[in-house]
Amino acid sequence: MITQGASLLSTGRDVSVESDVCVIGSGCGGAALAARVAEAGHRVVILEQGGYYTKDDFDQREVDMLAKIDGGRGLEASDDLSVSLTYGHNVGGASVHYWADSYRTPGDRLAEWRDEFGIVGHGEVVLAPLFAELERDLSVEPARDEYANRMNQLVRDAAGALGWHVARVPQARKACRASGHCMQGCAYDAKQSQLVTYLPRAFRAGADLYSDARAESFEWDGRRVRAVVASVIDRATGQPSARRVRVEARAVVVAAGGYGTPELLLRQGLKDRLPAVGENFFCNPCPMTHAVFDEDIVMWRNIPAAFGVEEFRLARYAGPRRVFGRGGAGRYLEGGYLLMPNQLHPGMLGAVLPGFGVEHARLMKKLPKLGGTIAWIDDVEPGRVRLDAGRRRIEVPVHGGNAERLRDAWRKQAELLFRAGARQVIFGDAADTRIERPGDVQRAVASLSLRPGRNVLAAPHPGGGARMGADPKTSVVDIEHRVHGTDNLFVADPSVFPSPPSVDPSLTIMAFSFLAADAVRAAL
Amino acid sequence: MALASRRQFLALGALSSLALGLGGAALRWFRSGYALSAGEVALGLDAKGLCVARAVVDTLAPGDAELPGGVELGVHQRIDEQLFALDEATRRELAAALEVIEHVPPLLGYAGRFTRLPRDARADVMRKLLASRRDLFVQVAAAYKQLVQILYYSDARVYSKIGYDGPWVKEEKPPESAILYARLLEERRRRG
Repeated sequence: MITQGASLLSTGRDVSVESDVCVIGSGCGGAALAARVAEAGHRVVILEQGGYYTKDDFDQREVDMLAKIDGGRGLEASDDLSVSLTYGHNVGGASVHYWADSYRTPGDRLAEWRDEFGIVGHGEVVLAPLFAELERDLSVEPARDEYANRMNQLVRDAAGALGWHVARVPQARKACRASGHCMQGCAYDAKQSQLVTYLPRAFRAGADLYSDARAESFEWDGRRVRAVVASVIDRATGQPSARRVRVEARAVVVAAGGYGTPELLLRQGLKDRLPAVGENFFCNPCPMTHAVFDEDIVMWRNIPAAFGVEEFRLARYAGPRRVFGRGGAGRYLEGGYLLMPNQLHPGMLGAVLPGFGVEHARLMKKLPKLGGTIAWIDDVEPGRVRLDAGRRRIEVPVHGGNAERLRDAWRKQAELLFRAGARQVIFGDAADTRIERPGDVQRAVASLSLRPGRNVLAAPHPGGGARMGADPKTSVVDIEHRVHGTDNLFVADPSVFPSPPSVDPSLTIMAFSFLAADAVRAAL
Repeated sequence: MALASRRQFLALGALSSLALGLGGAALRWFRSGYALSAGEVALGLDAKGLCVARAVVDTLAPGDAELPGGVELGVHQRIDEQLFALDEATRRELAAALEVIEHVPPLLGYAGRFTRLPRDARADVMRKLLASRRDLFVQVAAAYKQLVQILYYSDARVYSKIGYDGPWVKEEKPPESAILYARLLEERRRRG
């Protein structure tokens, strides 16, 4: 059953409930775990700080939908404003606005997590059946030809011509209508978000969900969390009300996402004994590159990414390869990102294209012929989530190894776009760098400033702020996803990853949540 | 969307507070001459902020023979709506950014506030901010450039002018915050 904030506010009374498990957050991590635990016969209560919206509320208007399903209405940025923060703020979390890209965690990354970070019990053999189950449940299959818009086709063909490995992106879709409004929430329930997959399963198994309920504090009983107290948010004002929801539970699972989970743990004062809370943060900062073509591209229709360039997923070094948060590697050569076609509707595209006024309008009038690409950078420099006078701050390093990868991603995107037939490549920086010849790529990319505010970088895949590991000095949860030093507090979202998974994280998050669910059940 | 450099925004935006400290005359000067036009209502910003936002919109989205101007579309009022719905800290940062834009022209070679300059001069100020070596100036200008442009190009009255066929869902379903804002706006307009 779903109880929305408005009905709680109308009663004027606080709510107090008991359950076996309280799950904080309803995105990929929380929903998958909730379904698993509820279907095993346990009582589950989910607290979600965002609102409950369904396909009937998804009107495909960019600004309306930013207000409904995006944290901070899409207006939040990292501490120095270098990177825009993208996260879900609604029942279903980021799965409601994501692109439906559904990769298994690459074996090389799982091996790295085992060898470099001591993550045992989460290897390929353990995860393979979970991935198979997820792929069945979410109808994951390689993107079909009919899903590929012209930008997708150009990326596929140009990458092939350059000799780069390009592949169909696995997609979680069923009867996709190809509207191109994935980021505004699927109005057709075709995208297999948590709204139409694990949350309904959890509800059918008896789980309850309170939307507009922001978890604020834990009540402790020694090493156990006895209860979670949440404020009910007034959706119209975005402000917390005086109404509270208190959930008494035998186990508590924090699945508030890569930004929200470390923030919540910090607010409980856990940093004092677990110094890794909020550290080792990553977010896949994403540089975009735009292009003007002679032919119609219509980038806003069909699915965002039917084909992806995997050639550069792993960075190449002369010498030892760099590992997230570790120094002492060889000389960087190239790579360390996935490269995808981009999909933007005119509001967001207008915002990320350079310049303003008449010149900007002239570019926007070429909208059907505008295309572009985006790269998910596999961060190597750790960021941080911290509290400053009670306010959450996110630090994303745009220097060192991250900067090397950003510049190489811009280079490769420009090369790809020219090979795809671009007449002009536009980097979207504040200095409005544009080039019309492939021979100018090196010079142009070298000229791009990485100082704050000069570029538009998105951060769609946050994690790491509650890292998994054996040592409470350097990690937050153990390999059973339990917070060190507690008996019944767990984390089930990308905050536990020791480094970025090097692909879209949704399937990794859900597979890890299945394992966390087993640990939670064992603790009941 | 890159927004405010928190501490710096607030520090420079605190020019208002400085004026307060200078006494009533300075305060009157600092906040004078910001008259709202008919139908304009400031709920997320104050009257001064909305006037500066109007000048910023007119500069960044002036329109042309085919495209309507941003002010004509009420983009500055929509900025006010966005700020109305944001948390208090972010709202203060964005309001402070408008203070920076309003009072920065003398540092860039123009005598007078941003709102008093002709459009060409305002455009030059914005270009200089975006090209500045000072992070704060770039951040302030970039934040409003992005905010104005997303609101402007998300307006259905612009779609056909740029070759966009628009959403397939025909009925607009505004968020709760927009419904509340529209109601308050109407009440304030009725009260005059």
